[in-house]
Amino acid sequence: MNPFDWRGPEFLVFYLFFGLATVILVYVAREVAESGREAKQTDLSEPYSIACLRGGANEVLRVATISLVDRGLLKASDDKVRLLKENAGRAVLQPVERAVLDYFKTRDDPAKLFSDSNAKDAGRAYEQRLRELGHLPDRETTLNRLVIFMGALAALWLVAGIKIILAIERGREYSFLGILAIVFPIVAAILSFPWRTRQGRRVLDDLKMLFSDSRQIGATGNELLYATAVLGVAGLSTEHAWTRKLFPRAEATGISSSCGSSCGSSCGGGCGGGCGGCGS
Amino acid sequence: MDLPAQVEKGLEKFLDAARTAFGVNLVSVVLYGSGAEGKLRPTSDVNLIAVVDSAGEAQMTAVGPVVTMLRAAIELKVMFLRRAEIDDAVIAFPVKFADIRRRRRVLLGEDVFAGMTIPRSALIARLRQVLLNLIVRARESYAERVGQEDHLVAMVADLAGPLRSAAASLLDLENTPAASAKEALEKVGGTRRAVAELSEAREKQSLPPGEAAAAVFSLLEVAEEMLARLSRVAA
Repeated sequence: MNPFDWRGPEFLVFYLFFGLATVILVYVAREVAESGREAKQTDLSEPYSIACLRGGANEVLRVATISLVDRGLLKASDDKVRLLKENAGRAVLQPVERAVLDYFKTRDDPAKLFSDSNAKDAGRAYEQRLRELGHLPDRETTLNRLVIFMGALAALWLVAGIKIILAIERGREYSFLGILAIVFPIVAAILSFPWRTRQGRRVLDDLKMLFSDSRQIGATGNELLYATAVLGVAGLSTEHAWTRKLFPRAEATGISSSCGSSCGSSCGGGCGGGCGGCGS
Repeated sequence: MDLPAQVEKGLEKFLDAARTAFGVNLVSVVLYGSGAEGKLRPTSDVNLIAVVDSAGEAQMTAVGPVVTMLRAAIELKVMFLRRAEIDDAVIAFPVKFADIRRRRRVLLGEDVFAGMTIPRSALIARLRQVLLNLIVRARESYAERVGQEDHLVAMVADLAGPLRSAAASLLDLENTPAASAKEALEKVGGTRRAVAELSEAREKQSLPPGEAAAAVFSLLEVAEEMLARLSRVAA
């Protein structure tokens, strides 16, 4: 009954179930660990914090740009943006809006806004606040996640490793097992390190439900700001097609509640930059 | 409550925010209009009155972000009224308060509008103002939207609420009250097709192609007739 003595196909089936059980356990363990933590604030009503919760610092910059265009402080022409008033900075109070205005004083490409350090810092300030509120993982939560992931990784690799060593000794094929030993840790990593905490996910789901039937016809000002913050560029009605020209990748990738966990390292700097388009 | 889930959620959020912002100064929160009847349409506003004992900068600043967000999410409109201002407000906005008297639901606190009396002279004067304003603004809006069928349909839908309230107030003044504001407009508007199509315009945001302009003017005709009837009531 020792699975390490089983033949290749039989062991592969065993490992498949073992891997599935492990990743399910990872998910459950993380959910349970995060449900035990007291939320400091269960509601969010500030639009840039909402945008950050949905898609990170890049999304804050995207929403701020759209709001500033809508308010007539910036002018969008297809995929270019320019400052309309030299002293527009006086009309805004939010540091992120000021940083976006500063960027467009000298440049016109919205896609490169995400690599501007001043703008990026202003966007990241919201991430910090969300970490303090418990909506994004703080140091302690990340550590807990790491422990869970490392446990899963150890189990997955230990079992696969023993069998692979035996296969090598016996001159058997082990490539399929090797693939599974790579795939399952990747799945475990995705389930271990989602962008939001359980609490953050609930807050965002709540907001999405609240805005699920929002009227967007003729929406301007705060209505457009909130709709963009909660639903993203991809969630706006066709009336606001200009936002998609500005940020085509946000439209192409779509923004969903689960994307934060799957954007991987392609964001450059990890998932911290959020999903819904890492660069534009 | 018989309201869409997102509206119920939004109202919960508002009540939480109002409790936090106003504390013991929060007297009552009342839902009125179509929401109170559980007949919200996609184009309906969610109308609330928050009756408070004080509404200072700190309190309004605290509740503001949630009100702004809910305005964007569920078209929530909140009138913040100090308890001491109720009598003056009833005289200043008698049509609105006539509607509140007919259709309201207390969400929190006491029913401060129970037994409210609306001066007849104030109601006549204000109803005349409301109808005239509606007619003049509708003509202006029409002139700006000629040929834009979707905007005209939205305009027809937007006319429904104030016209229904005005019709209900008019029938009250004529001592022939209707069971609901919708029924009041049907009584006042007679067999006009636009009146019958109002619900479709509100619910589906659509009308048969090419009918929106005619519907706008048909509804304006109803408003003009109401004005004429109001003059007879006043006399």
